Amino acid sequence: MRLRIRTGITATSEGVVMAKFMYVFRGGAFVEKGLAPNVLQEHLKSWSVWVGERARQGHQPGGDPVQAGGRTVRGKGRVITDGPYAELKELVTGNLVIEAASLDAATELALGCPIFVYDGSVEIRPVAAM
Amino acid sequence: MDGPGPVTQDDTGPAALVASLFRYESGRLVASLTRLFGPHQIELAEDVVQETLETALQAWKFRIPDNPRAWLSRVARNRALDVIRHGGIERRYAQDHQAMLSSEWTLAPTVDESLAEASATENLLRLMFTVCQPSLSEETQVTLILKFLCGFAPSEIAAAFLTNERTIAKRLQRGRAVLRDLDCLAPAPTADGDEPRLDAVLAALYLLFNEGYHGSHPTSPTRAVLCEEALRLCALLTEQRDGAAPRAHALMALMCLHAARMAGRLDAQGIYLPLAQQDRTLWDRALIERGLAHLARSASGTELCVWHLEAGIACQHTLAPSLAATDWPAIVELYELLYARNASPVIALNRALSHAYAGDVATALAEVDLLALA
Repeated sequence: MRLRIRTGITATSEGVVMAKFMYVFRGGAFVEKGLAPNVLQEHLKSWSVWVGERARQGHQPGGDPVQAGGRTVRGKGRVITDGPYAELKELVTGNLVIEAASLDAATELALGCPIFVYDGSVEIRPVAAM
Repeated sequence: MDGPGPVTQDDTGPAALVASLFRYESGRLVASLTRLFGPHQIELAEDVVQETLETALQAWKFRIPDNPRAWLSRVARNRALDVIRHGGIERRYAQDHQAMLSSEWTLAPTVDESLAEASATENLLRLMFTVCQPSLSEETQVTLILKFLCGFAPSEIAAAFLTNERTIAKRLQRGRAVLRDLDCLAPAPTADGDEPRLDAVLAALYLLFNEGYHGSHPTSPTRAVLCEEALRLCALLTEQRDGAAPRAHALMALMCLHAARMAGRLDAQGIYLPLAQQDRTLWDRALIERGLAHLARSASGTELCVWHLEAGIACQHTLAPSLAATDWPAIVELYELLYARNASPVIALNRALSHAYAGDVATALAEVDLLALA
């Protein structure tokens, strides 16, 4: 049973206040080239397990991975360029919003993320409550 | 793709993919694309497939699509269309598809047809017949099968063959050099089994199976996978719509009847048990049934090949309730026929052993003596 206090923060019936945090994923296996089919599938499985665990534990994960390519619009002149022009390991590869009791709790949850197997990173940001 | 929202995961855990799906799909897609691009451009097909699987890994992290295979086909199709449209007019594709791929009117339907589920078996068979080139050694043929049709990494092939990656890399290099001179896939096999290359394909599948079955690391999971792959690929042959050559059914029967007895071969420590000590209740009944069905179908023609004889021997062992109750005279007769075709010392020794089990120790000893003299 969840009681919605205001957007971004909810309280469970046990009284724990949950806040939203956004994981910004960078790098990881997606930018690693030439992995064998078996290796790719095993890695995919570890992601499914990790996200599935978060869902089962009630952290309400929601978000999307993003593909390569895209565009960037920059500056007053709205200069449009193809691609994000990031170093591969800095390339944003997705985001996930989860609910957790605190920044520490959200960080703890991120430690098991499979992205670290391939030298990726997770930035953990508190979602602003309105 | 749906917009951001809760990730749908039910209580039974994340939607699971079929084991080895990426490997199998890699084989299916490489075969389908090589049919279009031509064997001389198999690297291009591999690149498209690699990109497709990487795209899938990224897109499926949070959610597995309802129909993963269709999803992969769609991505590979679009990528293939891009490659062909940007390839320039000087690029040569498979000679039997060149005209269809050169016109925007026929391009997309041609790519769709090759990637269709209904073409998958034919494409895999055509690629298998293509890589079993007479100018390549059997080991190289099997290496190419494992790489292209089974989606194994060179390191995985090396582990399966208990060799190093350099050896595998050399075999792949030799194989690719031969493929570079081929401008279209070999034709699909027909039911009459007239293709001269059918025997090469069957021999390669038998080598693949034996590598898994009699290898020096029988408990290693990689090796069990080799037997599974040999069965899976041979089934492509035997399950063709128009039927298959009797000797393909004979090889399938042989592999099923051997694989069925895999579970009883080792004790708890992974040590080989003699046949007399094996627990026959551990044998896989379903695989035995399958083997017997193929053995029956292998008898549909007039031909009698070594696979028929070897499957016959395996059948006698599999159906016997115990070592003592085995029909040894029948096995002796099968070994006689086998020896007449292939006078190898291993067959001679097995024939001598079966004489002994059949009660004729004198003949057995005489044959062993002859072997010692040879």
